[in-house]
Amino acid sequence: MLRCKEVTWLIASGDLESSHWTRQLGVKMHLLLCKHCRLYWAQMKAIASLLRSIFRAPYSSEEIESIKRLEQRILKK
Amino acid sequence: MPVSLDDSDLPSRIRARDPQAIKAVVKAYMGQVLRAARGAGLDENLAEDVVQATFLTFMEKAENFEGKSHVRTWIFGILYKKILEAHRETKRDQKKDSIEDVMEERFKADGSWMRPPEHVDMQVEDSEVREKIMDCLDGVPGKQRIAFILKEIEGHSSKEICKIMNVTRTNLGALLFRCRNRLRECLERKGVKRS
Repeated sequence: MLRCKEVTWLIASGDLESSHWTRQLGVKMHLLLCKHCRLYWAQMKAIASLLRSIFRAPYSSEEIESIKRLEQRILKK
Repeated sequence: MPVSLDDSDLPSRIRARDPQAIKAVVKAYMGQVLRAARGAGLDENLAEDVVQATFLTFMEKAENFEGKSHVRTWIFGILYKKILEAHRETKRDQKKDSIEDVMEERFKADGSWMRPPEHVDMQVEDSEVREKIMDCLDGVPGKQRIAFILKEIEGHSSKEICKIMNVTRTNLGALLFRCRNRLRECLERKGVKRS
């Protein structure tokens, strides 16, 4: 049975995604039983989602200006 | 001749400095690279300088592009080196990071939680939460932040990130672990508690 410490490592390091299917299944089983690890996992996902929503928002007019300016500078060379 | 970034002859066209190929690459990745530079913590002016330097280096070294990895990976590799030069923060990423001590203290000897995570408000729409997470991100050391941005924002695979940052998969795991836990601990400390 996986311990909470190991589960948090697998989740936060990204090792879980490349783990053998038996390990992934072990983590899923652990998350069914452990509310603390379930919260931890949900928070990791929420943090990523929150930052993606900030950084992937549609380009602002200032960003569009920066991009155009940089493209002109670089493609003139 | 129109250019697709997934064409098998793109590497040879880049090596030959085909203007259409170069232009297509610059236009395709300019926005992503600029956002990644901002995401890595550079202010507006420095980010533009770094992005310009990245694409100029890409164009200077175009004849060396072997095509072993996707051109996007190559460009982000150049960007990464430029960011490190701009930050000069490589020394901050120690082999042992204080966040690891913080995480150790959360667990008992048997690996179960001693101090489990607390509920924290992470609502995307909440401007206070958005402000706090950006403050927290500003406190993350350079390499950790870059690894996180490349993984979670730019969507690079772990394999690509290892090439871009010239780190092993184990190193990358440590960088992501440290960054993610720093962010989580920081939000919890800032007390953005859900009612």
